[in-house]
Amino acid sequence: MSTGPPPGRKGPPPRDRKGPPPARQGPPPARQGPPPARQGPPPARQGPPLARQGPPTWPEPPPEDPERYERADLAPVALVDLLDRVLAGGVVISGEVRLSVADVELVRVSLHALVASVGALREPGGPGSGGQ
Amino acid sequence: VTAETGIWAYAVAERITPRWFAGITGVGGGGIRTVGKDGLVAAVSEVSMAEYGEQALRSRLEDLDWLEAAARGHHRVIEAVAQRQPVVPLRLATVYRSRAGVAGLLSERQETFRNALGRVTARSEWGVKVYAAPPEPPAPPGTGTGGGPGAAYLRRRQQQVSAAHEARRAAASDAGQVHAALRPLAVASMRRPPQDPNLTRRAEQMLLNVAYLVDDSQQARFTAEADGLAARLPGIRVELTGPWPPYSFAVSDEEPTE
Repeated sequence: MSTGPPPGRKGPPPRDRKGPPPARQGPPPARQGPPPARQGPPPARQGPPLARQGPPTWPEPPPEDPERYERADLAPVALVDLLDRVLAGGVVISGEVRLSVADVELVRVSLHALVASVGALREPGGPGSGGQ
Repeated sequence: VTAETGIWAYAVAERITPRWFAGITGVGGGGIRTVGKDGLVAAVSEVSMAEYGEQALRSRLEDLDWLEAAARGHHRVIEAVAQRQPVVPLRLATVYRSRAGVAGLLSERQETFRNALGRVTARSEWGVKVYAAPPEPPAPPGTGTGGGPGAAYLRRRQQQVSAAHEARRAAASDAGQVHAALRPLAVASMRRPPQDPNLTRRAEQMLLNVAYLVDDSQQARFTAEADGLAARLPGIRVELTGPWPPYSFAVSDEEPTE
């Protein structure tokens, strides 16, 4: 049950490799309150909508390449949300390359192992740590 | 030790400019470059095959620290493109032996990429996770009547069990309501398995883990609705993340969603 000190949401220093589990889930900001805890990339600005409001595409790219939304630098996304996406999402290419469907399966297997090891880290007295 | 290098590919767009990546390095620290072909551009960086070749990847993907660094590096580059252009992210660890290989990809899969770009243009991905709220503290003892201490215990226990059961059922129903309310505001949705509690570091059970593809013009409505649902449904906790690059909606035809 030890949850350790949750890492701060903003600009965390390089993580201590032996430290708390790596899912960089910010502390749930409102454990009791009703509004949703909005984590990860910053929420869209509420006021003026996206910078690009006009035509859905850019016929002529503007010279300055204005950003469509704010950078996510200040609030790093939770690792677990990121892994959901970079491992399961995205176009899968095979061919000259090495990463075939089999390797994708490999990634899934690896993640199961990871989950187990993270669990063992998290609960020093738990079943995962006995006899190791 | 070999000096052999590979090309790590991040994303494909119609236009990518190297100066977007000032101050950004790729996976393994390489600078971001572009490969263009047939009106499409891929963001790439050089990686050492000793570290990112097939054999090396097999073992390194087991290492959570390594995986996190790679995932964040991959995301950083995709995000930099997504902030400026419609983008099709490539899956983590798409490595080619040469720039020519990447150019070949752009050429061969031209239609796939164009379709995917059309699908995500002027849209962003939003993540919604719903957790069951923490259970209520058990009712104070002594609320029942009759019988001895044993009967009172049983009665109390039964009440706790049925209350917990009822709470679970209500939370599941609330989670269904969340999806039913948000889905019409999105152009597509993709459900994922609930995340492992060891990775979320939360005691609450995750009931729903969905990615939505939302028109930029609907974004304010979508996020307001998510906030409103969270306030109206006390039995659950709603977490909203985004906007994300459209990771969950760039899946090509050769990799159908489950």
